[in-house]
Amino acid sequence: MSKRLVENSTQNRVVPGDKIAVIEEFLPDETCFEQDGSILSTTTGEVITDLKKHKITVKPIKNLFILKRGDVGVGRVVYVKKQIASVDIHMINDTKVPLPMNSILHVSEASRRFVKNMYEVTRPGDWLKFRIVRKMKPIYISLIGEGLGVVIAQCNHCGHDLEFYRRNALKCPNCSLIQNRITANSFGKLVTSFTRTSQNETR
Amino acid sequence: MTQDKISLLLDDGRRLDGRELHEIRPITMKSSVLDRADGSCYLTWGNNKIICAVYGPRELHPKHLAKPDRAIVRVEYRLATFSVNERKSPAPRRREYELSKLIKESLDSVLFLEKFPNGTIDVYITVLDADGGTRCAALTAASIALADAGIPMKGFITGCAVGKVADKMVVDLSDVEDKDGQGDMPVAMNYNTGEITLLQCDGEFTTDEVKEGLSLAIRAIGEVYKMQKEAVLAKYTQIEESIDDLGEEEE
Repeated sequence: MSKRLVENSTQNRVVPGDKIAVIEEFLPDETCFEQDGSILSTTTGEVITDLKKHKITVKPIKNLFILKRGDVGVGRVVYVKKQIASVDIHMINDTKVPLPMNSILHVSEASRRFVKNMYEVTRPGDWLKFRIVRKMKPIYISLIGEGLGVVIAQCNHCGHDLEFYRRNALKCPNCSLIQNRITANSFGKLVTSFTRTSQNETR
Repeated sequence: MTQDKISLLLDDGRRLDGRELHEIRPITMKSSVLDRADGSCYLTWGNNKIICAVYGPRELHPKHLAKPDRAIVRVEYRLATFSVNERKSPAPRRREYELSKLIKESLDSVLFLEKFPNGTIDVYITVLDADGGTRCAALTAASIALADAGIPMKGFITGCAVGKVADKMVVDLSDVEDKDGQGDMPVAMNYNTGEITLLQCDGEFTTDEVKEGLSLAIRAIGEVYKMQKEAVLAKYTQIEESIDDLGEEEE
């Protein structure tokens, strides 16, 4: 039934500014906008209507990077204070972001369990895997969720790459210092060519 | 002035290039002509030849120009040295700065800039051959290039000039009519919403003539808008053709 309700008409190709529906029929998404009760397309593409959810969208001919709530990204911690950390976003959904973006991680979004302050969560220079919770400026991110947390970290003391010791604790193989972090399941595995180059540049 | 009236219209009431008073010149538009640009367009409008490239949204340098809540649009309108009768210096003149500003402000009104904070959208327009009405043609080409780049827009900006030649209102002035006529009035608008985004006037017009000129311009813009739509949607045909070619090669 749902298949029949979702219509993708290849004949219904639109350009920016074309009227595709009225507001009583459908809810517009990010590829459309509402003006005087009409829904108009913002991009070139094919109109897809979902009669079950009453949603209308335009499948663009060219995908452009637009941040959405719930997107999973990778970024680098710039500074840490007692309650917040500032994170530069580098990748969203495995795509390098075309624009510079800075986000804020609040201590309340760091973990489900109690954390005393942000120094138990992350430190400057760490690479985080996070989820977007607010897409408008200031962008807010969260570490609550499966697979989210610190993925690469360096020792505060000697700068050596840290190794996984136990859950939410990392150990430096050089100076044997054990440090607290909110670690992701994929700790140490997210070493892509992108993060490796960025690490070398900053060192 | 009497000399102008005689010279700019033929005996049968047609214009010097054989057009009717309310007829536009032949137009061709092609999108995605440049591989390295995010979006591009090549437009010929009579003897005008214009190429436009769009880059972005991308990071803005110098960073102090960046707006934290939206992107900025930078437009560079340039006449090529060989585009006019006498060689033009490649350095931008006052006219080019003015037109860049006009085109920027016109495009600003249809772009969703708040979606790209701290970013920029760069539009480069080069007039390869100029024969009157380049600002309207440049705006038309820039709209196609922006749509080709996939940048969200409220609609296309389409332009067309009207003017007064031998006391009669004419549409789409050529270079001779522009220089020797009694006045010209370039108009650009978002045809879907009816918002006028550019309206200039040079010369003397009565109130009735301005009203008539505007209605003529809007009618002409409607014709150009249809061509713009076809040019943008032609990308689908290009993709389908390339897929067909790939299929044939595999067979």
